[in-house]
Amino acid sequence: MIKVDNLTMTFRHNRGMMTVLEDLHFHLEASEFVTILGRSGSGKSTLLDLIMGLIKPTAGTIVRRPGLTIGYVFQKPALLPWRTVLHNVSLPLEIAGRPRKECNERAQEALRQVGMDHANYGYPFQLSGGMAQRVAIARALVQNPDILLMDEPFAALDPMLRDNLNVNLLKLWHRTGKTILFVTHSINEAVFLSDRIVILEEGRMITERKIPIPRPRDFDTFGSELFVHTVGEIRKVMPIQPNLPREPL
Amino acid sequence: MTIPRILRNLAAAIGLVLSILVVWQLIIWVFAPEEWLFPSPRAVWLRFWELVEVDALQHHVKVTAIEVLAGYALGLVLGVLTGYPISQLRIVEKIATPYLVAANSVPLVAFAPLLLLWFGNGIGTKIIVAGLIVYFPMTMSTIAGFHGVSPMHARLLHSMRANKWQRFRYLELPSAVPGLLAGMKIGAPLAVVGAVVGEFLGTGEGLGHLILEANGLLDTAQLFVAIIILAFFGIGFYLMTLSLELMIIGPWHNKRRM
Ligand SMILES: Nc1ncnc2c1ncn2[C@@H]1O[C@H](COP(=O)(O)OP(=O)(O)O)[C@@H](O)[C@H]1O
Ligand SMILES: [Mg+2]
Repeated sequence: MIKVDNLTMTFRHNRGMMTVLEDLHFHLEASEFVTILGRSGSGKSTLLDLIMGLIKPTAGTIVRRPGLTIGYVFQKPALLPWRTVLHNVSLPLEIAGRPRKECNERAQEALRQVGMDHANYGYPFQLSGGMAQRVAIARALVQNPDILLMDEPFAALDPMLRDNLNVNLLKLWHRTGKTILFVTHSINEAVFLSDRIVILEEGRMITERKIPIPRPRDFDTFGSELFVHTVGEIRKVMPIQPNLPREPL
Repeated sequence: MTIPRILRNLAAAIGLVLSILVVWQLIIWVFAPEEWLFPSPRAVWLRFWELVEVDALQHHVKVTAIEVLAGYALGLVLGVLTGYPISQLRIVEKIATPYLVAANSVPLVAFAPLLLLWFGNGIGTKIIVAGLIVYFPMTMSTIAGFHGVSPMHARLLHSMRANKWQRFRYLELPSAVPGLLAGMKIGAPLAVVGAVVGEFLGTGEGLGHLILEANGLLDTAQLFVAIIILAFFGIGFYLMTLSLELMIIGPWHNKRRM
């Protein structure tokens, strides 16, 4: 669905240039769940912005299948506080110029998908962090995109809730057959969710791993031997943070 | 605001007015001042009815009300019309802000004679004086309001491919509303001040004129009547903007931020 070749992204800073992504090769197939795993500052968000087409690459190509539509979930819910939940979700359709009635119906349907249809007429300030992020996911789903880009969507939430939301995310993925490109700095989260993990470090793709854990996965998966083993394997290939000592102090 | 809360606030307001009246009457009883120095509530009340019957107080109130409302509207419109473009361009803002601050720090009374010279002593000059005094805070509030757009939301609208107009309609304008309302709230009592300052320049109409006249005649009771009416003007006007605020942003503003 998406093919990225020789992708390089350089930002101009007040002092000189800064290469954030360097010579990336990457592809995404239909109905895949792929996660980009990397520590903060490794260029993950920049890569999503490029794929979404929000910024232009310095060099290289991003080929999207013709007519491909993409939904984007940010790390923060970014709901507009003056709009009701329903009208936050319908916003992309309104901006696309769809008629009012269609906007509302499809927004309602998207909220049902994430289990938030009880909150239609509430305002964002009434939502907890997890609920707000589910509404943000509904907003990304409302145009029924082929691909969902998710930039650390649950990173700010507590771990229990995060597992819960990830289990539900997988259900949604199975149900809708969407392609998901997920970004996280959590190895556990990446292993639990993905078919494939791409490890990004300082703008370079270090390696790529298929995750052999069978589906469907649910809460029990976190405790399985295969899960724990796979997390260990991924940890081994994760680079040691260069400025931290290898041995304990 | 719920109905019981409105009633409670109303009761508090009435209670305050009553206690002021009581204290006032007590002062009269204890110190028995000369009436031209400090009139009793009763004297002011009688003078009020006299003014209504003999001097057409209603007419003066109406003139001042028109000046206040027209000046307020003028100040708001001009404030938004200059504030918005200033807020959109960093360079313009850097250049314009010091001048705005400087112009705002010169007391309006200093400008007033100049305005009289330029625009004559009709009602138009009063409207301009009221408008000017509202204009400066409204401009500043407009600038601050449009700066209230969160970068996160800007990124969201960008990702939805909103065009310039949609960005204004769905993001910039709603983000600016709390700031705009703050400006309107600051401006409301100032419009009253502006209109009275304008009337002090002289024309023979309005509550400001009644004050000048009363001052000349040592008619302190009339002075009190005019002052009390002006106070009600200010309060009524302020409450109007407050309810506007509750209506427009009440459902979501100043709650937990997202
Ligand atoms: N618009 C920009 N201009 C300059 N530098 C940027 C910009 N966007 C990101 N960067 C820099 O690129 C690096 C990677 O950022 P980002 O893609 O947000 O990383 P991640 O999402 O993995 O934490 C950071 O050092 C950041 O400062
Ligand atoms: Mg990021």
